[in-house]
Formats: sequence, C-alpha cells, structure tokens
Amino acid sequence: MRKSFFRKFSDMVQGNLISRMFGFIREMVIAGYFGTTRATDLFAIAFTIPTLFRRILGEDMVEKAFLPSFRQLIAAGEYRRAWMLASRIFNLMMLLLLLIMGAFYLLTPQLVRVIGAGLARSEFHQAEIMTYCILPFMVVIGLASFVGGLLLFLDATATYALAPIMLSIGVIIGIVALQPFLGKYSLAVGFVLGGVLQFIIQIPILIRSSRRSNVDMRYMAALGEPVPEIKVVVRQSGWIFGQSVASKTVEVVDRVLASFLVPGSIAALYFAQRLVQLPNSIIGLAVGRAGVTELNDQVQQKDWQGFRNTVITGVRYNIVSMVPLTVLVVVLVGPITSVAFQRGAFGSSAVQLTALAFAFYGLGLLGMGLWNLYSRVYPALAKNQIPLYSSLLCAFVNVGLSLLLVRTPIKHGGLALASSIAFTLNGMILFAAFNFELRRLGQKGIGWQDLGDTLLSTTVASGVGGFTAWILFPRISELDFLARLPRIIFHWGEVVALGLTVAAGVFMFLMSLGYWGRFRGGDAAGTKRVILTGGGTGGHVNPALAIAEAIKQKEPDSQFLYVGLRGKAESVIVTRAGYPIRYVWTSGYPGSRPSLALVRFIVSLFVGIVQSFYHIATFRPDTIVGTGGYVSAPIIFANALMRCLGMSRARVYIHEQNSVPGKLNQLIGRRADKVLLTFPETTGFFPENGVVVGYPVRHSITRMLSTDRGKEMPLPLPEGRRVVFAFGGSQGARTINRALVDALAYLLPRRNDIFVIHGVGLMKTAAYHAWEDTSERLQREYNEQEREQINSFYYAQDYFHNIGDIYAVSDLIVCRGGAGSLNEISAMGKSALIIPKANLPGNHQVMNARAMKRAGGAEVIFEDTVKDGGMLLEEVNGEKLAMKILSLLDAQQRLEEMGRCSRAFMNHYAAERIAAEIHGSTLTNSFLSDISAKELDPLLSDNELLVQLRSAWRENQKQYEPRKVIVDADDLDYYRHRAASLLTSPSWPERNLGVKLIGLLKHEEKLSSLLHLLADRTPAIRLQKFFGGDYRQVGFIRRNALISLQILNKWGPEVEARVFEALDDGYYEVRAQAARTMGHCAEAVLQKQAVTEKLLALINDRSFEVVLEAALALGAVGGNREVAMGLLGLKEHHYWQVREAALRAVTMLVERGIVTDREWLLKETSRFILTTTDFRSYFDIKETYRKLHTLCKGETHKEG
Amino acid sequence: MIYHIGQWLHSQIESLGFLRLLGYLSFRSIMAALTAVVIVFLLSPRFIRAMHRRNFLDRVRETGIDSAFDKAGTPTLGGVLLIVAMTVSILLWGNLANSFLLLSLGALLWFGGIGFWDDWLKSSRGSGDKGLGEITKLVLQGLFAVAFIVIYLGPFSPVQPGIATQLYVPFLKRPLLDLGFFYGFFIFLFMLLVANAVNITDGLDGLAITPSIFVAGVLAVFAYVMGNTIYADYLQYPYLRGVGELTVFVSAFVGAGLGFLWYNAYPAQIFMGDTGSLAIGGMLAVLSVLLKQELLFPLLGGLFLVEALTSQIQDKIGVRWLGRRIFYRAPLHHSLQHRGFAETKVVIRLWIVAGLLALLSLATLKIR
Repeated sequence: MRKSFFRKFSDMVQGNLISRMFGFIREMVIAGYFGTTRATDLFAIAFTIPTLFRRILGEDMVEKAFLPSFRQLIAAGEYRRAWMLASRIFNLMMLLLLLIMGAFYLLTPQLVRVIGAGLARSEFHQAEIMTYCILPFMVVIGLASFVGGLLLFLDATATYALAPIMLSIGVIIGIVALQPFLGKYSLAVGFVLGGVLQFIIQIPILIRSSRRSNVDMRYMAALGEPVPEIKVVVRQSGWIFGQSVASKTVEVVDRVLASFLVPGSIAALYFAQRLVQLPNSIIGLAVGRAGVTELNDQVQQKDWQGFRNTVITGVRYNIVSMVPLTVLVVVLVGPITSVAFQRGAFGSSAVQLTALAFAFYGLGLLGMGLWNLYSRVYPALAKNQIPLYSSLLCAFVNVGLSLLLVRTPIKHGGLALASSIAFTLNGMILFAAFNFELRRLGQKGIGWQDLGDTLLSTTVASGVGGFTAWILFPRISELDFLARLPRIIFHWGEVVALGLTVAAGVFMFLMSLGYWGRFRGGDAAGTKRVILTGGGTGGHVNPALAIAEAIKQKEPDSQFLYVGLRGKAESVIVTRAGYPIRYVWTSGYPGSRPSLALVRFIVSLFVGIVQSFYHIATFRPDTIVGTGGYVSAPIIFANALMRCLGMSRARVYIHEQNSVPGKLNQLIGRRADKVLLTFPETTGFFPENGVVVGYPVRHSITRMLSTDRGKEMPLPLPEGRRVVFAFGGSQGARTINRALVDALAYLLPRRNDIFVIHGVGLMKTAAYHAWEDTSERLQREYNEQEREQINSFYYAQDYFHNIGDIYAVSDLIVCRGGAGSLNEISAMGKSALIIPKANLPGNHQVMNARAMKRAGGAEVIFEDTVKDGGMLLEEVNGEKLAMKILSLLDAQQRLEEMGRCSRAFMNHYAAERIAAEIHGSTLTNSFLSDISAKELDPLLSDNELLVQLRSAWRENQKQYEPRKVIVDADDLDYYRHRAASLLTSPSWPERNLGVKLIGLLKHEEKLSSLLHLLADRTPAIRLQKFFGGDYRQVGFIRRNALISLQILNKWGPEVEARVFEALDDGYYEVRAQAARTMGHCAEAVLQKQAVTEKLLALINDRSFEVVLEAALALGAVGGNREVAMGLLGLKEHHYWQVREAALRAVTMLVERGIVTDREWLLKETSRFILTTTDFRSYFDIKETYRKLHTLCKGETHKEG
Repeated sequence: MIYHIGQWLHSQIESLGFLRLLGYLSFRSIMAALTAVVIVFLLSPRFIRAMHRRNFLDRVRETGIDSAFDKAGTPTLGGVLLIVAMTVSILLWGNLANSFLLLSLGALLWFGGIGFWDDWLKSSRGSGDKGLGEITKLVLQGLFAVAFIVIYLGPFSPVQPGIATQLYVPFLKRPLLDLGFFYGFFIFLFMLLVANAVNITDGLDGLAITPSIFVAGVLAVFAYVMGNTIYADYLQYPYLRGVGELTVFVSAFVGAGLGFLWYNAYPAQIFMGDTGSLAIGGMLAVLSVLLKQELLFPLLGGLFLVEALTSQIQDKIGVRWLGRRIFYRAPLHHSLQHRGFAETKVVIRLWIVAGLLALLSLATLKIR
C-alpha cells in the first residue's frame, strides 16, 4: 500500500525533525566541548573527506541513481534481479570505499597539507592523526546511507529519517566518555562509533520491513551474475558524482581559504553551516524527498500538467518557508547563535565569529531550497546533466567570489556570502532551465503569474515580521526579569527573549500576509473569486463542482480555487475538471475522547489553518463554498479568524449533502453565513442559517440523463427484459456484491424475463478487492452450467462511466443510501431498493433511505452483522434480496408509482438555487419541485431506545409490544438489525446492551444467539478472574439474556435446557433470574420433576435473592405436596422477603389446587415469623395530592 | 469578632475583668455551638419555604430502591444553612488570627462552594445526573488539596516544622515515620477520599449528619488535648500551638449539625445536598490532617470509608469492568435496604455503629 504524499511528508518532517534535533544537540555538545578553536578547525578539515564521499557514494547515489532502477525491477516483480542489483551495488560500494580509504591513508599527509594549507607546521601532525581516526567513518556511513535508501524504498520512511539519531547518540557518547582520555581525537572516534551504530540499527528494521512488503529480500555476497541495470546505475552515478564533486569542492576550497584566517574560522564556518542546514534540511529536504515518488509517477504517466503543478507547489513551499527564515536569520543572527552554541568552550568571541558566517549563509537559504528541489526534479526527467553543468558553473563562480571576498573585511563571512550567491545563482539557473524543459513538453513555463503574488506577499510580510523582531528584540532582552533567569545548559533569559520576539515576528508576518490580501487591489468589478473546498469522496467533490458550474453560468468571469486534501478523490476529479487545486493538511475528527488520533487531528487542523490562512490571503476570495467532509474545516476556521481580524471579506456557504450532519460539519455550519441543505429534515440542526436547496447534480450528469434510452449501451441487453441495476457507489460495496451473487441462484428461474446489471466497484485494497472477490464467489457458488445460464441475464462491470445510460434502462436500482446515488436516482425518476450502510456518522445513510422510503420512492433492506472467522461482516441474505427484487419487479404499477414519488423526492434545481443564494438573490418557489417536507422522527440512539422500551415494558409487562413504542415498521426493523450487530461487539457493555435490546425489541430470529451467549463458557481474562469475574459473557449479559428470553416468551426444548443450566450458574443474579424465568414460563415446565427438584434445591441457596425467586417459581411450577413442605420450611428464614415469598408461593399452590389440606396449612403457616424489619411508609398528604391529580387528569381526558 | 472585641476591651479597660472568660476555649466553644443552633432554628423554616418556592427540590437518581421515590420534592441545599450558621458563629466566637481555624474554614467554604455549584446545576437542569462532571469535581477538590498541601508543608504552616510530615499511627506513641515529600501525595489522596466519602454516605435521612457530629466531636477532643501543653505532655501527643481553636470550630459544627438534624430526621423536610456533604467531607479531611489523625480516620470515620469503598468497588470494578454485582447493592446503606431493612432502621443502626467507632477512637487517647 502506498502512503499518501501527506503521510510521507509528515513522516519525513517528524523523522527529520527529531533526527535533526539530535544532530543539533550533537553539534551543541561539540561546540560546548571544543568551541571555535584550532581543535575544531582540525576536525573540520579532517571531516571534509569522509563527508564528501558519504554524500557522493551514499545518499545522493542511492537516491538518484540506484533507487529508480531498483524500483522499476521491483515493480515488474523481478525480485531476484532487483536484489541482485542491490547486492552488487552494495558490494561494489564497499569495495570502492575500502579502496578509497586505503588510498587516503597513504595520501593523508599530502591531503592535509592541501586542505589545511594555512595551518602552522606544527599542526599538520595533529590534523593527520585526526584524519586517520575519522577515515573509517567514510566506509560505515556510506554503507549505512545505502541501507537507509533501501528503507526509504520499503516505506519505512520514518526509520530512514530516524536512523541518523543513532549517529548523533554515538557521537555524543563518544565525546562525553572519551574526551578525558583522547582529547580532541575523541571527536573523530565518536563519529566512527556513531556510524557503526547507525548501520547496525538499520539491519533488523530492513529485514522486518522487507518481510512485511513481501519483496523477498536476499543478499548475495558475490559480484557474480551480470545485471544489465548496473550499467545504468553506474552511468547515472557518474553524472551525480560530478555534480556532487562540483558542489563539495567548494566546501574544500572554503576550508583551504579559511585556514589562512584566524584560528577558529573553519570551525565558525562549520557551525554556521550546521545552523543554516537545520531549517534547510527540515523543510527543503523533506519537500524534495517526499515529492520524488509523485514526480516519478507523473513523469511515467506523462501527466505534465500535474508535474508542473507539483513543481510549482514545491517552489511555493520554498518561498513561503525560506524567505521569512532568511529575514529571521539576518535580524536575529546574534541571539540565535548564542542560544544555540554559547556554553562551555564556546565563548562570546566564538559567537561573533559564527554569527557573521551564519548571517551570510542565511542569505542563500532560498537558493539552497530551490537547488534542493530542482536537483530532485531533473533526475525524474532523466536530465542529470543540467544540474551538473549548472553546479559546475556555480562552483567556479563560488571559488572566484571566495577568493575575492575573503580579502574583504568580512573575511570568512565573505566565504559564506560567496557560497550563498552561488547557491542563489544555481537555483535561478535551474529554475530558468526547467521552464525551458516545460515549454519543450508543451507546458507554460513557471513565471510571475504563478509565483509573483506569493513572492511579493511573502517578502512584504517577512519584512514586516522582521522589522517587528528587529524593533522588539533589544527592548525585550533588556527586561529585568530575564536577566535573573538561570543559566543551565541554556541562558534561559535569552531563550525566552528570543522566543517572544520570534512569536511576535510570526504574528506580524501572518497579520501582514492577511492584510496584504485584503488591501491589494481587487479585480474588475463583477468577477467573483470563489474558493471551493470539501472532499475525501466524490460525494463531496461533485456537488462542489456542480455549484462551480452554476456560478460560472451566472458570472462567467469568476475565478475558482479548489482547496482539498492530497491523494483523495478531489486530486483526480478536480484536476480533470480543470480547476486549479491547492492542498492543505487536515484529518477527520476522531471524537473528543483523548487519543493519538485526536492529537493528530489537532496538529493537522492547526497546520491546515495556517496553510488556509495563506491560501485565503493570497487568493483573496469573496466566496467560500464548502461541501463538507473534514477537508473543508481548516479553510472555514481560518476564514472565520481572518474575518474577525478584518483580513477577509469572504462569505461562507456550506452545503450539507446528508440528512444528518457530522459533528465537525455542525460546528463548521455555525460559522457559516448560510448552510445549504439537501433534506428539509436537517433544518433543525441549523435553525438560523439553514436553507433547503437540494442536492446539486453536475451538468455533465444531467446532460447524460437527458439522452435517449439506451442509445449507446456498452452491454448486450436483450429486448423486453425487466432490468435491475445493482451497484455500491464508485468503489463498490461488499454487502451488495456478495448478496447479489447469492441472489442470482433465486433469480435464475426467471432468467428469461429479467436482466441484472452489476456495478462491482473499483475498490482494490488488501481487505477487499471488489472485482476479484465477486468473480471468485461466482466461481465457487455455481457450477459451469449454472454460470452459463447466469451469463444470459447477468452482466457485471467494475465501473460504468456512463452511469446515466444504465439508470435510464433500469426498472429498479439496488444501491447504497449515499446522498449522491439517491439524488441521481431521483433525478432519473427511478425506484430504488436501498441497502444503507449502517453505523456511519449520524446514521446518515439510514436517514437518507428512510426519507426516500417515506416519500414513497424506495424500499429498504438492512444489513445483518455476522461473525466470520473472528471478523465482523455485514451481510444481506441473498434469498431475501432476490425475493424483494422479484416482488418489486412483478408489481408494475407499484414500480411506476415509486418512480413518480422518487422524482418528486428531490429538488432538481439545487445548483441554480445555490448560485442564486450566493449571488444574493433568491429564486422564486416555482423553481422548486414539490419537496416532500414531511417531518421524520429522529432515530434513537441505542441507549435512548433502551430507556423508552424498558419504561414501556415496566408499565405493562403482560401486553408489552415493541410495535406500540416504535410505530414505524421499518424503524423497528432497523433497530433490530442494530441490536443484533451489537451482539458481536468485542466490548461486553455493548453486547450487554444488545442482549437487552434483542429482548425488548422482540427480535425472535436472534433467539439462538441469546442462547449461545447464555451458554458460552469462554473464561474471562486472568486479572478479571482474580477480582471475581467468571466468563467472557459476564454475569450481566447472562442475566439479561434470561430476561430477554422471558420477554421473548418463546419456550422450546433448547430454551428450557439452557434456562435449566442457568439455575446452576455461579453468579447469583443469573440463578435468581433463571428461577424467575422458569416461573414465568410455568406452563411449559409444569409437570417436569427435574425442574421442581432443582428449584427445591435452590431454596437452600447462599443468596437470599435466589431463594426468594426459587420460592416464587415453585409456587407457579410446583405440582405436589412436597413443594409446599419445602416452602413451609422457609418459615424461620432470616430474611423476611423470603418468608413473604414462601407465603405467596403457598397461596399460589392453594389457588392452583395443588394443596387441598387447608387445616394442615393453617396450622403450619401459623408458625411463620411475621415480625419484619421493613414497612411501607405512607404519606397521607402525598396520597391525597395524587388522588386529586388523577381525578383532574381524568376530567381533562374526558373533555379532550 | 466578639473574641477580638472582648480581648481589645479587656486590654484597654481594667474593670472589664469578666471578659477574661472570652479567652477560655470551653466557654467560647459552648457559645459557638449554641449560636449555631439558634441560627439554624431561626433560619430553617423560612429557608425551607424559600427552597420550595424557588423549586430547589431534590431530583432523585434512579437507584432501583422504591423508597427513594417518595423523596422527590424534598428541598435540598440544606448545606447552605449549615455553612451559614457555622460561619457566622465562628466569625463571632473564633480567634480569626488563628491559621488552623482559617484553614478549616477555607476548606468548609471551598468544598461547600463546589457542592453548591453541583446542586445548582442539578436543580436548574432538572436532573439528578446533570450536575458537575466527576472529573470537574475532582479537579476542583484537588485544587484545594494542592493549595492546602503547599501551605501546610510550606513556611506558613500552622504546625511547627518537623511535625508536619510525620505520620502518626493510632495506638503507637511515637510517629511511625517521616514521609517527607511523599506526605503531600498521601494527604492529597486522603482529602479526596474523605471529602467524597461523606457525599456518598449522604443517602438516607439523617445518615450523614449524625456520624459526622460523632467524628467531629472526637476530633474536638483531640484538638483540645493537643492544643494544651499539659494534656499534650501527659498524653504524649505533640503540642500544636493554637490548635485548640479548632475546638471552637468543631463546636460550631456540632451545634449547626444538631440544628440541621432537627429538620433532617426521618422523614426529612430538607436535605443537605452536595453543598452540605462535600463541605462536611472537606472539613473532616482537613481537621484530621491538621490534628495529625489521618490514620485514625479509617477507624473513626469507618462508616464513611466503608460506604465510599463499597460504592466504588461495586461501580468501578464490578459493574463497569467485571459485569457483575459484587455486593447486593452499594453503597452499604442501599445494600441494607435491599436486604429488607426499613430506612429508619438502617439509619439508626448505622448511627450506633458510628457511635461505637467514635468511642473506640476516643480510647486511642489513652491506649497507646
């Protein structure tokens, strides 16, 4: 399963963030221990070589040269060759690295004299030792990077980004532990240690994730079998090698030049680079890397427009993140450096030295970001030479500038400035060259019209933010209390001051961004700027597009921007419809219970709001149309906020497709100017701003609807058949697919006068592959002859692009209860058989189905929940479905009537009405079709249902009927299905609820499930057993199952056996209830000796409740004098309730004529202890009051 | 107030020697009790009528016990009476510069406030289930507990340094051990448990108030002893300077409680509501801590503890987790009712139990 861009991006950022944080802590430790001294200089010099080769042979080559070929092989299923390639590259690399290391060992003295040309003679020796120490690092880290690349491919993205943490930890441990013994060399040894750790930690993860992805990983030690791809990889590597050498030589040159400056200059450059790479790598690298797969896919599919859009998005991200960061760095360079490094050996002069370099490096951030982005774009186009030439050119420029600028007073700052200029130049060249490529591909180049607004607004806003920070920081840092904060690891006063300043700067940045959008001149009068948002499924996207079409019709100049979630339905549909789309972060509301999902929701909503803030500020909409789904949440919230601040003037319209809005939609709806509703029943949720408009259907579909019947049918439809069309939405529904296949058996006899069209659906996940599952079921259920017969009246296809045609020829449509399908059916005036999906938010499919049924346009079948090998499945009985279909098809008149009602059910001018609402005028009512505005009762929740039913049952147990409480037969049916589905829940309180409801709803079909629950002896978990639990079906469930059996009142041998067993249950309430149930069903067990004996045994039970119930049951069941004797034996029982029950039971025996010897009875009962510890209090005044009230109520009843 | 005025007059005018009387704890305690009773008697009839008129009536939660339904419509918020009477009486007769007294009064008012809010919500929302959430209540109570711990263990503690964190165990002469920092955790839990125990106990007419009076009475004796150098020395208790003032505080409570019982006795004309039960709970908790009798409380207030534990075990372990009842019913008094005891019988028997426990606890004064 491929992860979405969003997931990858967030994984990368999180992984990168943490690993970079550790990396930074590592640098802080180094700075604290060694400062900007010659020791660090020496280390930086020695470090140049391994890092050079690590980048070249590790990260860059793996990612750009090896992975593309490898991916192709894996995709083609050629695992062996793929792993052969991987192994060979790995072995080659190891060999090469070892060779290079050996060479360097020999050449070290010379190398050091070149790189550290400016060092004093005495320092060469130390630099050599340092280099010797660090060379092994090159090999280890190169191999680790390669393995990391494989991990990236196997989708262990987070691990890939996290593995470098081990490096940092190793370094820190190395320094802290070894510094006392090895001095400055501990630095180098630490790195080797860290590299080894990083390599080792990746191996088990690699093995595990390869097993999970099923790619049959195998390592082959030999260089053996030739793999042709290796040539490609090697050739590609050549280009990349050149490119990397070009960009890294500059580093070397810088260090050579810096070695002539004051001691510590190299270190200052090193630390400044670390600082500047922090934001660069987090944002730039993450955007670049995460987009690689997407870019590759787009190139493969030749989706050049999408390709261009991805790149534009990347550039925008870069501008929006890098420009403010540049300003931030320039303004606050001193404090940032000092907060980051000033401790231990790193003094204030070191801060000055580093800050200077940092400021100049900061200027190149944007260029660096662009370079990062483009150096990943070109390999996707297989144009590696362009970045190479550009890098070479810029390297020359860089070296030249360095030589020039190092002589100026800014010294090492000049070196930083030179590389910034070179980076910027590089970015610009790549940008321009890419536009050239785009034009060659027939696309417009990326230019001012795409980026101008972003660039301008970001620059201005960054300026304002930066100015704020510049003004504020000196004033804040002078505050008195800050100076008093302690200095532990950090100088906390400085940290706080910096934090406050940055916060103020960011605030001003966002504010000015907002006002920029507000006050920058508008467009020509009459053009509307509309943001459309909403998505997740086509059911949300299509209405949005329908509304856009309607607005366009009214005001053709309107500008649209779609804001959605990457990787969802909108990214396909909207792009195809030709609207520009931008993406935000967001995720579904998981409910208010604390959970990880909730945290993710809050974080992504927050990020989404900030992104939306930006989109609104730059697009400057005057209308926002949200079509629900959590996707529209960030935009709506951001807009509400911006309107409060006067930054936005956009009016907000929400369209609600379903009859019950989700939680988030309810919340959003309150923020909207108008909520446009599909169903009149929904008005209750939005009493202030709700308007009923109906469901907007796209013109492309309505046009299709008006075409003649079956003009261009894609399937062979014999004449004169009654046609059933069954489908479960574009993705398909398992329930409908399976039920339909089963139903075919029952439809078979009618194969000459009906025809079944089956839209199977496109779903292809691991859990359910619609097409394969359906055809496999067909194979399994029917033999060859049957299949042949079936083919004469059954046609299946995964997806119908011309669904309007299929609708047109159908007489009956079997479908889900989504608003989209129902609206299309209504627009066609067809009758429907709806199988709503249960347990969706607000039960909206059930509500939709109910509404349509109430209007007379549909019939409803509910799903059953069954347990299939530990998995819960919804299903519909095939026979039931077939019978329903046949009975509907046979009633021609009824079908026609249903079709008429169905057409009247929906309002067909919804889009026009919405456009009018947005335009500010309202359509006259004549446009409206006659919506059946009958009020529907809201569906009850399970608990509400329980309360209502139970109180009715308590009031009158004898004549209790659930039908009296739940009047609508369909509702009752639905509730029964819901109760049944509770029985399979893994949580016992839910099963318990189900058990109670089964009884109260008199769902007799589930009698056997009740008996099963009652008899289930699966033990509880050990901890619960320790506290007194017994079985998985807890005491309450067993007790309530008995109560439900009593209410159901279906006595049979099996029921009797189970209840009889329950008399022996370990839990007293179950025994008591079993006795009561026995008593209740007395007639059935009247003459059973075993029952009487068992009950007689129970009157010696430990629990008085059981004794009491057993006594009462004996009164109802008992058939001989022994029973009476037993009951009379209770005369001295400790509990008066038991004594009373015994007396009542004896009375019953007398009434039933079992005991006739009244003399004897009088004598025996006179010995009963009649004193009691209880009495009924009787309040005269309350009784009189009650009497008066009943009197008055009776009078009013008569009057009424 | 009277105490302070008296002291001032006494210091100014020699001839007012009889005002010396105001210095005696015994005299002020008795006066405080009498004042509280009188206030309750004066206010109650009007208060009850006002509650009826304003419809502050009890909303019964469904417990499955028949007798509870006859109680719907009894006015609640009687705790307000208790708290007002006590506060006035203490302001009149107490030494308001005494931090023991102030801390206890703070607990009474804070916990009473929480209870009042809860009652108010229940009444205005018209349902016994819609008061403050369990978590909200615990957080509010916890806030006080934390503040109390900070004061009690900090530099402004009314107790001499070194004693505050000692753990005294009944029947042992010397403190068992010094819990140090952990003492804070210990009393935090202790306070939450005790405060809510009284609330749970308050389920039958007169069931909460009489045992509370017993418990408070015993604590008053301890306060008197520990606040007196001679007795403290003789009985080998730590002498806590100024703790005797708590005798006045407790006396005011005893007085107000007796006055309340007058109306609350079966069949009740008024309930104390959460206002009263939380206030009493909070007060008892703070008193036990201040008097270093935390570990005596399980014995002294054993009734409250059993009520609380049965209720929690039944609900949290039994009904919610195991899916079965562990006791026939919970808390204890409902269990007794379920076994067929009339309400009056349950109440009086539990009074007897509480009285016996109080006597036993009093014995620990000497048996050590």
